[in-house]
Amino acid sequence: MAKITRLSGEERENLVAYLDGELDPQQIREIELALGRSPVARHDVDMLARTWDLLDNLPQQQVGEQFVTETMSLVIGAELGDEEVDPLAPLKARNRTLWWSFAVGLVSLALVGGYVVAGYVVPNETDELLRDYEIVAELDKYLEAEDAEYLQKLADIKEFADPEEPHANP
Amino acid sequence: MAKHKEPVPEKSAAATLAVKDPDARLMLRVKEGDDQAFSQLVTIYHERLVGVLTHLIDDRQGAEDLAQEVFLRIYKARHGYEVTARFSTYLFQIANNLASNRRRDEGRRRVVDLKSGENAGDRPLEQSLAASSSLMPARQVARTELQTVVQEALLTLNDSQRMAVLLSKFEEMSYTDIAATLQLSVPAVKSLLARARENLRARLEPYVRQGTLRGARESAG
Repeated sequence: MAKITRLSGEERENLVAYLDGELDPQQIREIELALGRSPVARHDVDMLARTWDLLDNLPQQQVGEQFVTETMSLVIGAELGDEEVDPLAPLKARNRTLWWSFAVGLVSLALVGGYVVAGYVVPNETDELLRDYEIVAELDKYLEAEDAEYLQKLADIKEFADPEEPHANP
Repeated sequence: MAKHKEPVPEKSAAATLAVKDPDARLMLRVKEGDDQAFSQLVTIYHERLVGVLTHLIDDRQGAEDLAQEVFLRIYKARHGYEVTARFSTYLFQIANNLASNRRRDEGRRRVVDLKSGENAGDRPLEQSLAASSSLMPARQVARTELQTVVQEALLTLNDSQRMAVLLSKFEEMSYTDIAATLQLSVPAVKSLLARARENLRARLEPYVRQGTLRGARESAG
């Protein structure tokens, strides 16, 4: 009957490495020697191998092609947007639009207001002519008389008064 | 006088790696601005990455989110990319770091849950199996129960053991690559995997021996 011998800690580590093909030729010879003389070691190797094979039963993960598309969109998008998408970006864009609308409205209001105020404050040549129309219309007479006071006196005399024209009153 | 030539072992090692690893070459193209090459890398790795992350954190949707985060990190860091290891090692190293951060955050949340007296994640194996096997054909039940048993066994491993197991089993990584991914020494990885496989054996051996779920249930009981 085969003698049952316990394996050392190092030998047990080497059993796994042996199965994984990670031992050098000298270590392989030593392990095979240990396996030859120990049924316990042979049982251990057998069980280690069979339980390892059970991992093949773990469910396989099926990942759709959509994952590749989404991942590429994510990495390229992050690159374009300086790496991270700002969740507040739409709100900021709307605020920017509102700000620009407000600014344009304010400038327009200032222009219209300025034009209206300028119309009242700055003297207009046409307005002056209209205001002084009566004088301008009689300007030839005034130039001929050379004296407005004299003309006023003549107008006050009924015989010289012009019945159709109102009094010139410069 | 002859000029002394400076040795450049790192550069030549990197060049060798770049030649051997087609994915590293793709990443070098990404570095030069080729987004199509990055799309190829995502196509090559997305399913493998989501698979490993799902088993690592036990959350499918969370795994997809993490995988996207991994790709985003790699893309953002593309200008500084240098070939120092296989591309898969680089990718799973980032994945492991992000998963560790996530687990740390979840750990904090779990403490809060425990204080409020709720911890739905720790259901006994029997309850998990009962919930997953109702209203299924017998063969599918057996298959689902087997998956559940294996998943439960995997979840008993600590985070480093689980990641090492997943990289070894599904990515077929060497101890050297696993060491680079987990930022450990090769002897540390050897010990880690030996302990992990011993733990898996202890959980799954009754099931292997009897070929029925009864063995696993008796062992759990």
